[in-house]
Amino acid sequence: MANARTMFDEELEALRLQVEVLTERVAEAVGRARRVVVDGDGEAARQLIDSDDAIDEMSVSLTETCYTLLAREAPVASDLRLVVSIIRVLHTLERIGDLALRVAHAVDDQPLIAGHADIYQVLVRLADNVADRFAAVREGWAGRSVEPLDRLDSFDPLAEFAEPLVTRVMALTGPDAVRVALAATAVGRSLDRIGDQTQIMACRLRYLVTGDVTYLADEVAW
Amino acid sequence: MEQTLRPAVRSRTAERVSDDVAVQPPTVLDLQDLAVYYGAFRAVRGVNMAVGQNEITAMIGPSGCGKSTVLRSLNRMNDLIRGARVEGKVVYHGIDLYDPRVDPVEVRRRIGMVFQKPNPFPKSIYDNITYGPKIAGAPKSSFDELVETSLRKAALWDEVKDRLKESALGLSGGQQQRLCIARAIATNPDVLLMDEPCSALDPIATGYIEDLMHEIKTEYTIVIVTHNMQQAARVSDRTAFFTAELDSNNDRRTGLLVEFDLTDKIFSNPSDERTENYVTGRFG
Repeated sequence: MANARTMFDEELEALRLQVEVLTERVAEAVGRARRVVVDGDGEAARQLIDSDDAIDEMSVSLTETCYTLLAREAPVASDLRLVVSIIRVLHTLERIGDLALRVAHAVDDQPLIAGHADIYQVLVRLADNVADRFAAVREGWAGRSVEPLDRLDSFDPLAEFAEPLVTRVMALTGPDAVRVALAATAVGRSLDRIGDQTQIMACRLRYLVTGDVTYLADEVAW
Repeated sequence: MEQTLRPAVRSRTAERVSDDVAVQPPTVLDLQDLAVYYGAFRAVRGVNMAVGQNEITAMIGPSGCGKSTVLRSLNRMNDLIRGARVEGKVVYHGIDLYDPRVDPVEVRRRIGMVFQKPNPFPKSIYDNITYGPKIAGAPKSSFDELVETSLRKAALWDEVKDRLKESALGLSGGQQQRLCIARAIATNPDVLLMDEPCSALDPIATGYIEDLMHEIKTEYTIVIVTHNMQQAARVSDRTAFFTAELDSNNDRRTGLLVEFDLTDKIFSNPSDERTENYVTGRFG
């Protein structure tokens, strides 16, 4: 018969694997959001919308599992950091899923946005940027390693996308100007927030791996 | 993008830890390379730690790691065991407790002990409290006030004030343990040593004792040995983790201090892998 500690280890490992699965699903959502921005891919938008409920349900279910483990096992040290960090990223992953959903809902306006090359180029670059960011963070979480996070510094800072996007939106004229402005702003804002949430996941991973509480302060700065 | 709009936020824990290190309380007991022997057997070695004033210091570790042995060495209780001896130093407010000129009875008056199992004397509640002061020559006229004060500090007064002359053995286990704390307090000690004071108590009585420790730490310095890590995490300011390792000289296990740090640190991010393995339940 397995002892209590072994069973707890197995539960933690199962939890970690399920979070990895959820992260993979959210990665797919981010990839589909990127395809909506780049190609106006209606199928990707539909799949993204269909998958959101599953992401939400998984997030809630795993949160419940974490609460049960906290109540039953009273974990400490690295075990505690793992459980509370998972609770944090479950919320973050659910938010990223919702933000990707907002991009999907803008699919009908993508051809209009694509008609304005200067705005379109900013949004495509931003979509690529956040997808690459998320890939680095997903890799880090999968291996519980901070090394992949080093790549985050090589990407253009998220803050650099705001000014060119707003400047170009404000310069819009013509009959579809308002609609394009609203759609482009919504998509840009959602992508930017996906980037922020991804950075939060990175901070939390650094805390999980190192135990250094200063990363918790970094986390709330995003 | 919000990062550029928000003021800088700092970790409270990080600030607290760094503040705590900066304003470490005055040291009451300074254990310097302490080792305790029973005859030729070295029971524990390598203990270096400073017990801070008005702090609760917890000692944790698996059975046989020497934590109770170290605790007993802090008020020379080991003197009562034949063959027991100490190497290194236990310095109390700058005085080496094992200096031959130091009176062990006076040491035990200043550094009181509460044991694992409540051990009231088979006397009245009143007499239990006055026993120590009576031996120390305190005037009888001071006893009534002393009894009330001690029982109040031990959060027992309201429960026993109407039956002070009844036998202490009629009290519940939790009440008996609080009586033992009151008895230890009555000699006006500076330090209270507690050797698993709640291990014989139910959760409610344990809660009373833990609350009491919080109450009285403003007046006393407390060192507690506990097997209950949740208790160490709940009540203590600093925690010492001991373990036992095989001594190649005699094939017996010798206890040693592995890590001594703020309790928050020990239970959230210990420095030593052996501590991590113990507090998470992977070892011991």
